[in-house]
Amino acid sequence: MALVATAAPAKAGQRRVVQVEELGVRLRSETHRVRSLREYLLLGRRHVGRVSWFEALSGITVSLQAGELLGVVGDNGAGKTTFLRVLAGIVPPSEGRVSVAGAIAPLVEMGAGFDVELTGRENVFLYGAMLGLDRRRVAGLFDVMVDFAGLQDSMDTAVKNYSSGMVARLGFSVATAVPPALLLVDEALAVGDANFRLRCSDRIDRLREQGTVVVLVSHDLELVRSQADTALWLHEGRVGAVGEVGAVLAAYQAQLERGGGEVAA
Amino acid sequence: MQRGTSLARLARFSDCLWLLAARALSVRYRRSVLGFAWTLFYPLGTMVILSLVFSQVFAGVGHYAFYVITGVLPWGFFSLASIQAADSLLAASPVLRKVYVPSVVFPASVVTANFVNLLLSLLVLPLVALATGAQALPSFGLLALALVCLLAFTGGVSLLLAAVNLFFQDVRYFFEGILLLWFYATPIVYPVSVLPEHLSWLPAINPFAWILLLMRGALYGSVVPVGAPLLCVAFSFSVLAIGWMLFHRLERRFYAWL
Repeated sequence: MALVATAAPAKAGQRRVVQVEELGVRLRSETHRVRSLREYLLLGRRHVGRVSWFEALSGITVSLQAGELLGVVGDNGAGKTTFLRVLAGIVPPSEGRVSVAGAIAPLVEMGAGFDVELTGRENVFLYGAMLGLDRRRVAGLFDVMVDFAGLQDSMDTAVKNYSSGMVARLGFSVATAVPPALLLVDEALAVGDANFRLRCSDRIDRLREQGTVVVLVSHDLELVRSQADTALWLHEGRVGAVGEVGAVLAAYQAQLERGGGEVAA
Repeated sequence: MQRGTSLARLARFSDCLWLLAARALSVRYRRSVLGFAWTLFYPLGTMVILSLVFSQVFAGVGHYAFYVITGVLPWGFFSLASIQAADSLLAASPVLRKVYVPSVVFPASVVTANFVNLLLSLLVLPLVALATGAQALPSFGLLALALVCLLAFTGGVSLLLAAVNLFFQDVRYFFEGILLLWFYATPIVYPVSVLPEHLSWLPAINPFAWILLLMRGALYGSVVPVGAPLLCVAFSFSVLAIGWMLFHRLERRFYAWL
């Protein structure tokens, strides 16, 4: 049930960093909202019981070794983002077991954790702190982070005046300045320009050499094909296919061509 | 979600807590010309108005203005911090849905920011004391104890409100109503002596009245009953412990409601 930090065995390249067993996540659907104490007191408990839940994820089992890159594909609403959030520790599993060796598992997605009213500089420190880095660490890495994002001249500008590409660059740069055990990327690189994407994939390669596991969610199947070691196709919250990239993508594409029918067993 | 104990997680994110608190304060001070002076406007204004209105009614209270401000400042901290804390998780939901941060950081930063504000506000007390001729020699040990109890009590109430308000979003408004009644049930602007016989038990069951007793003992030189400090420490930290445990027990369910 709990996300347990386990001790990492020594040998890089073979140690298991991420272990997901029979993961299930139940989330509240927005339709029945009984959210006031007044209604609760007036209508009683049975109406509160009417809050409806759906299985955002169920029966997911995946295991990832140090340095591995998992590409996650699937339709909108298939549970890809929820899956990343579970790995990041944001969403607690309702069922099953998730363990990640290592404390820091940043999730890079559009505008992640940024306060748009604050300047770029303030956000670097705040986002760094939210990743659990202490002030001195962030201060020491500040120039490196800003250089990588190519935003030297925009640090005193409020983030609300940034383009979405600038936000993505800064987010990725801060999240990857300290090699994390697990890096979760949710379509964040799609808005960067070609030059930045190139540098991102360079940095991802370097992180993987140091043992970072990368989970990449993307609708860009060619990107997944070229980068991923293994792939996971999520279909309506379940595993559509998992394993060798070519086979998984073929299964996903076959389903796309059938026009989104049931998955063959 | 359990990466170390909840206390250890809070410690690891202490920088985050301070940055969020500093941000809340800098927004409050930066956004107006008068800045910090505005936060003194309410307590000082209340003091002046009440002194004009009530100093004859409560003629028995020495240095009535000083009496009022030693009550209004801690009450202002308690009510503002707990109301803001009630909203803190929902306000942080864009962050809490995207970044792994222990959720306790958000109500804690709200309480911290307001507490810093209270400490700064206390610096005007010597001036008020001078202006009103009240005794200006506080007992610092007792003041520190009163502040610690006030912080613990407010922290506990804030954690309870923050957690419960996520599931029932009108809890905040219920609590505002309770605060209004609570304000008048507490000897903040009136002395205990004006309470009629049949209500004289009221301050005894009111935790905030006990904290005020310490506060005024320290600042105003009123008599503190033996045992009151111990009692205050006991219930303040009990409230904090209850709030802390309830918050962390409910934490697993937060995400679905953010």
